[in-house]
Amino acid sequence: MQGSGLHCRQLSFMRPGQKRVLEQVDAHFAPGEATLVSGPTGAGKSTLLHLLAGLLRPTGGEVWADGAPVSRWPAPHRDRWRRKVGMLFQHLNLLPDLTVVENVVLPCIPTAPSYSEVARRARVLLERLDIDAQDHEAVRTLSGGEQQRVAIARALIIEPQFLLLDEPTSFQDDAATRCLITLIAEAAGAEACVVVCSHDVRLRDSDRLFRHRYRLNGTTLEPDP
Amino acid sequence: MPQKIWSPPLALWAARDLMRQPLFTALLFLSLTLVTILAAIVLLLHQTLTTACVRLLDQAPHAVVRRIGAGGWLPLRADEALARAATVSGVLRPRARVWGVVQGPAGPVTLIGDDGGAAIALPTGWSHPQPGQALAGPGVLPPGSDRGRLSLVGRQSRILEVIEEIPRAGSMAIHDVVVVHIDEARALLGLDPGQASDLALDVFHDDEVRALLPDLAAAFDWPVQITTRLEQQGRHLAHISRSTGLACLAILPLLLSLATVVMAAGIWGRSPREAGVLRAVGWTGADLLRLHLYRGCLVGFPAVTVGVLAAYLLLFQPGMSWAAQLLFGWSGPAPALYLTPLGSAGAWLLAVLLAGVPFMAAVFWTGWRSATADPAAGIEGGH
Repeated sequence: MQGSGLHCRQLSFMRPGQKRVLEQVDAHFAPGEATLVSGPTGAGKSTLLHLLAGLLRPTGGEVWADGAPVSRWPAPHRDRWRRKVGMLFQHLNLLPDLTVVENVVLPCIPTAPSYSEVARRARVLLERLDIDAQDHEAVRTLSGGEQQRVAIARALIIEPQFLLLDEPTSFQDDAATRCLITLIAEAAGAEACVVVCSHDVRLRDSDRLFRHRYRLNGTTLEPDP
Repeated sequence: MPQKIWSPPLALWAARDLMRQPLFTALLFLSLTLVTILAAIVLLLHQTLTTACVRLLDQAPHAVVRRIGAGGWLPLRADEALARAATVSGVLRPRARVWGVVQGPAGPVTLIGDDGGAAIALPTGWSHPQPGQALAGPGVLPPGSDRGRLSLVGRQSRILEVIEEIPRAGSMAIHDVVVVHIDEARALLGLDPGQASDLALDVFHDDEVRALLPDLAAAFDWPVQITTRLEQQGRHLAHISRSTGLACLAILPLLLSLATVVMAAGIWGRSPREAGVLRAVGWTGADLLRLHLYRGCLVGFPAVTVGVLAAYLLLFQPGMSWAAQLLFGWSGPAPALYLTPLGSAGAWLLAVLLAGVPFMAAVFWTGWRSATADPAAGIEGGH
């Protein structure tokens, strides 16, 4: 039995016919704290986040969330659990022909009682992230940095219990990075379990925010002092 | 927590989703509307003709006796035939009829001889036609012709004065009917005075007529052919069913093509990547399926509604004759058709089901395909 937050227990992952990406990874990501996972490109940081989000099924070991073995669950159960997860993908995965607000409200559509309410929340978040987009403006017309902030807003709009961010500052300037650090701190302050994968030095220097750090070395995850 | 079936934001999103592919949406709408129109026209036509046939034959005599010979139909002596029929116990109201088919100005017409008696019921205020006069059905006189004169050609030619035109609302049976004095009818049909075309009779109850057939046939000295009302009804209904059934067969390939269009739109419309993104941001498979069903309903309900309304207008708008012309080979303007509320409900429902069920099945299949896809494969496949 595991406690609250996210636990990786003997977690391994290997795609069929390819080399092992993760091997025997043990880690705990506590609620109310932000954890930074760093490592070189291709080390498996994105794969780790996909495993934590239940998008991939581990080839060995388990992922536990708040004491439940989510990686063992069948897809429909993991789908429902994923409603608590806010996820920023490295490739953003926005829907380019939709507007900015539509992209942000996307996670809330199936469960929201009213569209106008979630659209209002989306606009507040976008304003905080300094996105000044018109309602009808398609997201593909934005710059890369703006698109990434739209994707961050999409991850935050559900007020997630588990916030998983993959290279959240890769297209951001210093001001936007500071704003993001504030938002991550607020999410952690709201008892969310925050895991950020990044090799951005600006995040690595945020000692007050990331009190727990891991480093992916080869296929193993080690505490990063 | 159990999933809510109805979600206003999801319905709104489904509408938005459809607008992302306006051409496919329009194509789906048009395809479904056209299939519904076709199905509804065929089924409503079947329904209305069946209703009309049953209602007409309910007023027909229980049996009709015709004299036949080696060459076919022969006239019979009216007085003698009436006397012989009256000898058969159970026969009620035997009456000799003078009628046949002659050439009218716009094609063949059904000529009926009227002896001024009560056998032919006319609307209040109308007088029975005298020699040289005629009552004409709504389809007898071609549009633009002289409404006061009618030229008929049978064994002889006659130009008659039209004293009344039977209104279109009367019945589809009077569409091509001309009622003339019995002497004029005999002259046009080549009958001698005292001769009749056939003998109509009634019995107390429909079921009795079969039992009377042997006695009735034996009562006449000449060979006769006796046709009962039930036989006539069965023959007409079989003809209607055959014609509309053949048209129904033509709908099947259309339904298949509609299903193909739906599936193609569903497959192209939602790429595996997009389905993967939706699942990754918190949509469940059930949410995706609901989205597809909402999309199907948003296109399907209006299309089916427009389809059945258009079918109704095409079929029952006065002057529209193409459906009956295509299915039954009727030439000229079709008679007015009417629906009974109860009988037509089945036809409406069947038309909606015939077009709507395969459509929604195809929508469900594409939705199910999206709902069960692996989200990670969808996302990673997009890069």
